Amino acid sequence: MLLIPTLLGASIIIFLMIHFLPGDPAQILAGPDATLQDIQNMRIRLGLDKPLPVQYFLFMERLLTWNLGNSLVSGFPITSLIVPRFLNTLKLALLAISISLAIGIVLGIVAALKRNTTADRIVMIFALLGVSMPVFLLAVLLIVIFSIKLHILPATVIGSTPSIRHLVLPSLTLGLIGAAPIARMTRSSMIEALSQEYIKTSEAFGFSIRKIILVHALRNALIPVVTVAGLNFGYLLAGAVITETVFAYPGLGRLIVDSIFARDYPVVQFGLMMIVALFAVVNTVVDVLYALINPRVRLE
Amino acid sequence: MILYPNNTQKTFNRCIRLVRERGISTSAIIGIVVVILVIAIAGAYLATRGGGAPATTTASPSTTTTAPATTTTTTTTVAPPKGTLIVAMGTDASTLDPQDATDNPSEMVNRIIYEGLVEFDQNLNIKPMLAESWDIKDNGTTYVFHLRKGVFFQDGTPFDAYAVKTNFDRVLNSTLKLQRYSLYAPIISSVEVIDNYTVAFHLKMPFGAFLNDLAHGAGLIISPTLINSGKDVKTNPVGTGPYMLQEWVKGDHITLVANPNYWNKTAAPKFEKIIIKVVADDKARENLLKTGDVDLVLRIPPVDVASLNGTGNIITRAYPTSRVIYIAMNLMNQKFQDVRVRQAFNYAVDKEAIINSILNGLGKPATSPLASSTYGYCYAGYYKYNVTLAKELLKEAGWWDRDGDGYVENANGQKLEVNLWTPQGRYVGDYQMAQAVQSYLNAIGVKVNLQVWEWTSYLNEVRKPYNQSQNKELFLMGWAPSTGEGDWVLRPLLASWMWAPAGSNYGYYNNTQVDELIQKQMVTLGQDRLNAMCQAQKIVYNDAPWIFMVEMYDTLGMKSNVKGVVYLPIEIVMLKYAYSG
Amino acid sequence: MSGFLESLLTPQNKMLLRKLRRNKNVLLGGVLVLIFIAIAILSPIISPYSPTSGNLSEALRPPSSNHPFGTDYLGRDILSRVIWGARISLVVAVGGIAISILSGAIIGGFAGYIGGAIDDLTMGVVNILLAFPDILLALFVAAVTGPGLENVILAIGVYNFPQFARIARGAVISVKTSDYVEAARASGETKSSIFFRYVLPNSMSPIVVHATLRTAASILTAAGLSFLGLGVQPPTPEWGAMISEALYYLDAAPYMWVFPGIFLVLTVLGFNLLGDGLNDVLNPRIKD
Repeated sequence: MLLIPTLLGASIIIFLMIHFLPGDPAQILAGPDATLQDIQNMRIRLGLDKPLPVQYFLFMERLLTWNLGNSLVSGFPITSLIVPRFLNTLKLALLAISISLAIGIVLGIVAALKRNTTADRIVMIFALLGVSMPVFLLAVLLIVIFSIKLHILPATVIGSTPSIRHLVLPSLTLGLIGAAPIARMTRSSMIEALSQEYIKTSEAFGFSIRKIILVHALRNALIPVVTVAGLNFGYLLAGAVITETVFAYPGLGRLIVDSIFARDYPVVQFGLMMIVALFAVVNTVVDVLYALINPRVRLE
Repeated sequence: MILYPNNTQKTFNRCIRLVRERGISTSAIIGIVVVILVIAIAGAYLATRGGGAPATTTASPSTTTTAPATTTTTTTTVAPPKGTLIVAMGTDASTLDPQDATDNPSEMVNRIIYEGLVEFDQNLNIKPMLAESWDIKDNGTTYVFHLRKGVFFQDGTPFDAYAVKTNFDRVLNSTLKLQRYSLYAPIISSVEVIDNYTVAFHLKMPFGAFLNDLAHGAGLIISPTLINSGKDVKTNPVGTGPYMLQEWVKGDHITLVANPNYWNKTAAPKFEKIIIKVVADDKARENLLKTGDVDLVLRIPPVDVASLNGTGNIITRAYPTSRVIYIAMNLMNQKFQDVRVRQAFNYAVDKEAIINSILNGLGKPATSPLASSTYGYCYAGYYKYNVTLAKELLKEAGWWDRDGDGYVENANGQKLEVNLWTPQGRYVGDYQMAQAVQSYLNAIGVKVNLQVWEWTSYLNEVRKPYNQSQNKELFLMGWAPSTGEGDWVLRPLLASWMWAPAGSNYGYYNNTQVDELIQKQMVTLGQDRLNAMCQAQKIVYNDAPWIFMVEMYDTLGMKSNVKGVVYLPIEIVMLKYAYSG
Repeated sequence: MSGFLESLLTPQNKMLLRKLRRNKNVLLGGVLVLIFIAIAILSPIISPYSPTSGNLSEALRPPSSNHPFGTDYLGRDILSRVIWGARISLVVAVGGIAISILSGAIIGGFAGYIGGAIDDLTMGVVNILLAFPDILLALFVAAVTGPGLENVILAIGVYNFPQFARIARGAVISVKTSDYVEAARASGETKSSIFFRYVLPNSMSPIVVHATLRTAASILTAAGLSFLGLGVQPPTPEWGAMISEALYYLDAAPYMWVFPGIFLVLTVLGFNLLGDGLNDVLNPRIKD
């Protein structure tokens, strides 16, 4: 399985980030307030005077022993910053994918069944818009409708523990955008599945059997959809970065963006590492799930 | 068909092939669907759980909730406090130790928990608080305060002269390295306990602004028991004020509860609780007010102030403040050595247009380094928008467009190109103003590179000494003297001994005459002092070490039933007298 | 080179062109894309005002005959900014995709051609890059290089590189092992001739489809980066940045975000339609 080497490779790139930046790595990591002594201490502590492979080893050691150090800006331990926000982002992503699946599958089925009618056209237009619309634009639209015009939902999250009210708009934004590719995939795989079974059997059997065929086709069609949804999860994580920023949602994506501006590079590094790890894990899980279905794949 | 990266494509292909070739066992399908459902449900469950108890949003502070049992025996019948006031501000307090706090959010919270010997009213006049009266002796070098009796700190310690002395001994103790040491150390030589309720301050010179300095947030009195216990005052504040700290979740909110033993029965706390929440974005705070999630909001976008006032049950207010926004110039940089260049920059910017458009009329052009509401202000001049004059001045200084490319060059053919640094969101309209200035300077032939900074990094960068600041050229800053008077503008920003990093003279301004006048106003009183300050302001204005921009206004938004909120022009919102009605 | 042109004008290709012309997606998408490109190229001519300087006393005016899209908070004409924004998006997207196609084709193609350890190594690197979800890769590059137009182009180039490398490699491999190339090599044809006559035309269709669809995604990503403040810097007009600025004025001046939003969606829509259509025509069945 490619998981471990890929993750290792990603960690190398993330580790190298400090060295890609202009300036002295020790100074960057010690922060803007550091005295010369602080910088020297940092240099020794992180082994910045040693060769790169050794530094990388120390970096991985810190990562795996969960000894991440402190934020340059707030001084808080990075673990206390990243973990709750990671969970918040996870919540958001899970909610969003549920919404995507619910809306996308239903719309896809409707479109497939009513192929080439107005309903189908509408669903297809919606799906096309979904992949063509930037996340932040949809977020603004939803804010204008629900927060400004209707006053029902808050446009921003207050504080670091979002309540349900606060989750609605961000997850709706991501969910709608994610629903579009799922709707398309559902529609086309349903059509594929239907075209075989339906034509063959409807001639032979008659009307009432159609329902059974529908269900059977649906079952078959949902597998690729479900796989795609799992993989979409990664893109959801990516979209979450922007969504979290617009809604001031206390998630990992927003933390990373804020930290980039604040030059809080340790937070950026470890935050990125966590998202990449999550993405890789989800991808692997989907691959494994698939391999379970089809033993032939395992050999590849 | 959307093309995904190859993994997805291959997997999808395999899926299709599988569907067509093998009938998939029902159980496998059921298994997968179950997995998906489990994940979805888990996600939704997590979402519900993690929400926890949302911040209690009592929509109006006058909702009757169970009033706490008040333990004090009082002669006057005081209505028990009830309800919660929810306030939203932009930045969290950094420390609740008044002697170590330098930021407004901290000071605002401290002024609810603590009180000082004297207090400002809304016109920045001094009124008695923990001191009932005072005598000024020895040509203004001794202040004797007669303290109020029957006052207790929130931990039960009685307030007396000993408490006052403990406080000032603490801030004057240089080994403690408290931020406000530099405010008091040059002025106070010692504090003497005369009797239980009389205390004398001996000053090093007849410092005219001494009462202002005591009304300053740094003069708020901390419980001596707390000081002597060695506990961290920053997170365990104990004062004499009407509300006490219940909880502080950093970066999130501060919860204050009514002090049942508050000494002033005519100004007893009206709310059971005050919750102060941190919401960084101005527009977001405004939205919270509109959706009813908060009762009072600090600083809303000026563009919405007029239209929001009177809609729903919301009122908005705008107040002039003592803050001046200016664009400082790094005077160590040879580009800015010629006063004509500096004045040209001042004439090139249309302050009135900026105020009208970006601040929606909520501001005044700066006519001095001091704002007009600051004690000691005098009109020092006005660089009225004049592009022709600006270009002329540049030309006199050797800069004009020699090659027709739209930019001015000097005799060596160098373009006049400058860096303009600005924060974004720290001051109202800061970034927009910087963009406007970029545009105005472009119009007189100066090439401007605009760079936006995050606030903490900005401060760190701007505070560096001159030999580490080669890239710092033009930078936008704001300053409001928290003492409400001019010494605390002229001295920290323009005295030569206050060059960064020692002080806030970030542009390294150095004028001997101004230095002398600053020292003179420190030791004189009355009209002499005002004259010295005025002269200093005029010299500085003509020297143009800054582009003098705007005297700022501050804005508040609140539900119409929130009353008793006092706004101090030093940008402090006084909540201690707030009530619902 | 002449071999390349010859191989293009086959009767199959001519039929392909006819099919393209008839496909609705290609038509609609193509029209939108052409309009976008036209606006981008012609922006200095058709833009009524300067996009970067404005008259402060005309700030925040709603749409009028003078300013059909209104003015923003600095008095700049929004129509002009939207027009020039097309140019910026075009430069960023095309520049970025060009970088990724070139680098992907060269590196991926070379890897496929050589095979062996170099191939494995290259694909390893590609997989590592693919471990970063979409915008996070662009974000990472932006974090390292800082904000700015050139850096956004670089970020777009990096984030699209893996897929083009894969496609190029796949094309080279499949061609390398096909019969007619064996025959050509056996008959002594030069490597470059083989490349132009067989490899290039075969890899063109997946690359063209992919490039179109990735252009759509890249425009969105670049707008996203600028929205966050990490991309194109002011006063350069960029649709994403314009929408970000509009948030502060959401109630007072909705026209600040509506117009850039519409143009952004329509442009991306155009590329997506075009890409879908091209895919339907050029890849009628999913290749395994």
